[in-house]
Amino acid sequence: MARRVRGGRRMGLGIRRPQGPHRPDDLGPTNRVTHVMEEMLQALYVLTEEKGMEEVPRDAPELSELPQNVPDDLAAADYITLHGDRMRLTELGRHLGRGVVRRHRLAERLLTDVLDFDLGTEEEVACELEHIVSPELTRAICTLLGHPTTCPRGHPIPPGPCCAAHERELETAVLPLTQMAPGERGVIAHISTVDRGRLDRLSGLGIFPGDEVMLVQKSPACVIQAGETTVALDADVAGDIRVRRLDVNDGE
Amino acid sequence: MSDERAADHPPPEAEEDRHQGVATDERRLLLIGNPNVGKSVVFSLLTGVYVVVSNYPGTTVEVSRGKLRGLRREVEVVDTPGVNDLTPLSLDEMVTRDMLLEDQPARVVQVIDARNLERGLSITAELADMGVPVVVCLNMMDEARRAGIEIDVAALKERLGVEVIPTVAVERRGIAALFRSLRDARPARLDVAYRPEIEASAELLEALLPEAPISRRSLALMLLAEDASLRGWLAERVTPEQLEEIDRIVAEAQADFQRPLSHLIASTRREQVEHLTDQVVTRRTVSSSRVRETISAACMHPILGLIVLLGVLYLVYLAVGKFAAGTVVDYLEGTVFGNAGGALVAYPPDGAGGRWEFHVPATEEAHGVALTLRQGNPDQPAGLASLLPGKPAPHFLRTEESYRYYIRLDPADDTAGMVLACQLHYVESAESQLELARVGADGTAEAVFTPRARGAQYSLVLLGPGRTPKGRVKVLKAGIERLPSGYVNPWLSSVLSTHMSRGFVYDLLMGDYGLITIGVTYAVALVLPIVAAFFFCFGLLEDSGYLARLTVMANSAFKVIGLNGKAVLPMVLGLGCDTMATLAARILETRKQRLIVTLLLALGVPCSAQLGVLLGMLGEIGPAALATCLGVVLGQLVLVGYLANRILPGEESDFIIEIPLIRLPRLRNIAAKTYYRVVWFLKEAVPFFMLGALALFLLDRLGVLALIQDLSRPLVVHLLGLPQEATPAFLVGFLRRDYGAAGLFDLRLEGLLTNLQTVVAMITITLFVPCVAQLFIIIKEQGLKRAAQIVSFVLVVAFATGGLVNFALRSLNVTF
Repeated sequence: MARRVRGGRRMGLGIRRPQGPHRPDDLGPTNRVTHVMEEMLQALYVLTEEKGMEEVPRDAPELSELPQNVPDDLAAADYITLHGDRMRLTELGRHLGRGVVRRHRLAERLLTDVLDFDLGTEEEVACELEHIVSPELTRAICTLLGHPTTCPRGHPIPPGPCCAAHERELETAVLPLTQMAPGERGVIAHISTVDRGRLDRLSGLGIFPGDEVMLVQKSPACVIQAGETTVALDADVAGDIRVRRLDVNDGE
Repeated sequence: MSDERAADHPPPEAEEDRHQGVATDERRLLLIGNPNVGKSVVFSLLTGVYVVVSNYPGTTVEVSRGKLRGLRREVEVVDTPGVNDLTPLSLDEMVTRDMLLEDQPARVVQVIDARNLERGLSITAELADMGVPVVVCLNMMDEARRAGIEIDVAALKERLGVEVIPTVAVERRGIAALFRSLRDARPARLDVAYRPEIEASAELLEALLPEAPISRRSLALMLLAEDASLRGWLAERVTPEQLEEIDRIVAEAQADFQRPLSHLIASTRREQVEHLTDQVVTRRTVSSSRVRETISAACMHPILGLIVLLGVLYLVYLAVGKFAAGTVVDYLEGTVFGNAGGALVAYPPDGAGGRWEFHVPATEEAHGVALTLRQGNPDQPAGLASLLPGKPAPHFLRTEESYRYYIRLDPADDTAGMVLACQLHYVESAESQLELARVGADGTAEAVFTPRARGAQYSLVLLGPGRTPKGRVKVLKAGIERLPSGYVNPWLSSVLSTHMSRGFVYDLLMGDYGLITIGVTYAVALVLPIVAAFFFCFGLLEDSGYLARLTVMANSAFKVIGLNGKAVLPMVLGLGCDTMATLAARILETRKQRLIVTLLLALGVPCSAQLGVLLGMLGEIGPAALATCLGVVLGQLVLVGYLANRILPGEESDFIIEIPLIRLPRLRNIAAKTYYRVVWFLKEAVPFFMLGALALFLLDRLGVLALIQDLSRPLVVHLLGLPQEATPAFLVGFLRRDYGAAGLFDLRLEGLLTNLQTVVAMITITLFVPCVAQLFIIIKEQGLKRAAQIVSFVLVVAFATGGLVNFALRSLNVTF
């Protein structure tokens, strides 16, 4: 058993103390965005878009680790508007924040699904990556992973242009189980649903990420075989199971 | 594996004193395990009581209990429903978990499918968290070995710290060793370390939890997995403030993860179990059975699967529809139960005397027709009574019975040379039979006949030589009566007649709607053989592993109406008996699904009895009529199902079902299973058949039936465009669906129904209200309010559809 690293309560927001020097930002329209500013935008995005806050007070606990002057910088750059002690994202700021969240969570997926990091250890690396991944690389990662919709902890990954356009020309490494051909084998990378009932029923049948599965057939219903268990399921449930395809040669 | 061989021949009785260690403090032994691991077989070996053995996940809904064999002290053995997880997702799993929570302490025999050790050990890990004493029964060792799986039992035992007994339960191997090990049950050592956040929250929760038969830690983990089913139990034991605090801790723990905690907990458990199995299991690659795989693939193939499906359905139809519903039912109803005798048609109706003068046209020479008495005669209208069992419709003349026809003329008339003829027209074969009896000098004639085939239309004709004095004869009495036949009903009738006069009580028991004539005869002679044959077929399909594959074939079709493949089971059962099928709707997961299936069964799934009449009648008219009727009914089912799915609140559930191995069914298991299911069905349903007969008896006595008949007549005549004589058929259909259809059949023979009217009538009666027994089951399962809604809805849909079809066909000038 690999040791689990305790993540703490901040983990859910994916915010880390800013590190490293400024870097030119190749996503936003300006290159004046610093890491701390990105961290702040990311946090504001999560708080407003996902936790439903309209305005965020400057002293929100989620922001406590960021320098006090960041909001002023953001306001000066038109990423937020200040209403007394409360901050509100502008359209531009929202866009940037969304980009950071997307890069961070994609990075987490890459680390856990493909590079086999343990959940918990991937966090720190992802925090580094989110600031340095270029748009092209982001798109490549997203495609490689099969346009995942959630991070390993189940938070939604904001879709990018590549997801919307269904750019699937690139052979993806992780794909919905239903996209394999009958008879093909794969290893479950993750199960892309937060529907508790669905997850629990699959785990009840002993189907977990990391298991090898074979797609037996797709029609009239999907039938998969995992170990000694054969299971029939709806196509949309099977589609939630994302697999890394196993070459016939490197099986077993 | 030496353990296993040593235990080849279990002598449980001789073991008596050796396993006395059991039950010094625990009086209960729970059998727990995944579905399809042979739990029920182990149970029967431990108790000596054989119970339902199931191959289909979810069928062991009812819990079987027994007494541990060979012990002087009473130890209750409980066969729990199969579970995949002790943090319940389904009703079955909740039942099992709740039994662990019961106050009386229990020990557990956990049955594991040796092929699937990991899934079994996940449950062991949960039991270990609970701290429940356990013995592991590693079943189906033979199948595992054939699949190339070797388990180091000694190492597993060492690692778990509990007894691990390899068995092949169907061959009774290893059972003696299991008996011996029972006293050594102890909590397993399989401590799973969960993620630190979860452990921390669990610790907080433990401090708030009450004392329980299972560890607080396991309860805390269940709560973190957001096990809503635990709330009721908890609410009784902690203060509201504590409950609030518990909720707060759970919510806070979950806030860290968007992935459900239940899944994180299950994943961690599984990782550690995997770690363990890696050390005790060795796998060889074994070429799997080609035969099995080919059969399995064919059953689920999009095209081949359909052919297999049709073949299977046809065989089931032969066994249930032809053999059970035909041959066996005829024998039971005709020969065993029989009837107490009674008039089919009589003049004058009540036998009170009177005379009927019949004019013979003076010009009619030679053999003129002098008198016709038959069903449907305007002077003797085919009323409700003549359609009902007791005075059954002519369709139900039986070859096992004899009938007497008779006439008494006024001896003052010149009756010389007159002959009484009884004409029989067989509906199914279109043959006819003529019986003759010469009128004697005293003016009487009588004879007895036995029908040559089943189902006949009958009429009495008086044939004269042509010259009668004054051109007329006076008929004092004439009629056809059924002679008592069979054993049960004539015997009962004679016993009752000698002890009471033919009054209210006699009628209540033996009358037209009598509890015995209708209730018991119906349940035992008609429903029992059909249900038994169906359960037998069902058991075969289940144990062979076909049933799960059938759901795969049916899944996409049922998706349209908000159901999934599992719903095929009650729907197919419905073609046997809708009452039974309504009970079987329990296997579906959500309330909404159960409601939709119940509704569709009530609306338009014809039971085997009804289906027979329907196919016979429409088949005679032609394929277009049959196609129209089946098309409309099926279309109505799909439409109503589709709309119900859109309108009714509630959720659909994912179709996720385990496909068991294809196995050769064991006849012994199936026979036992059929027996237990039939007993279960009789217990559940027969009281309702009795209640139905009673209700109809009272309604009839109170004149309500006649009232309903009067009220519904305009609907039948104007909306459906049917003759008013069709009204009673609908009423009778409520009692016994096939009699309703058969009533229409008779009208058709009378020439009272055109082809078009027949189609409209058959559609309406197929969609019409469920039979009375089914209605009671609906009330029982869904509640009175829901049942009333269902019946009103079905009533409206049936008549509206009938009216619409009537209108459409007439507008289009379709006559068939």
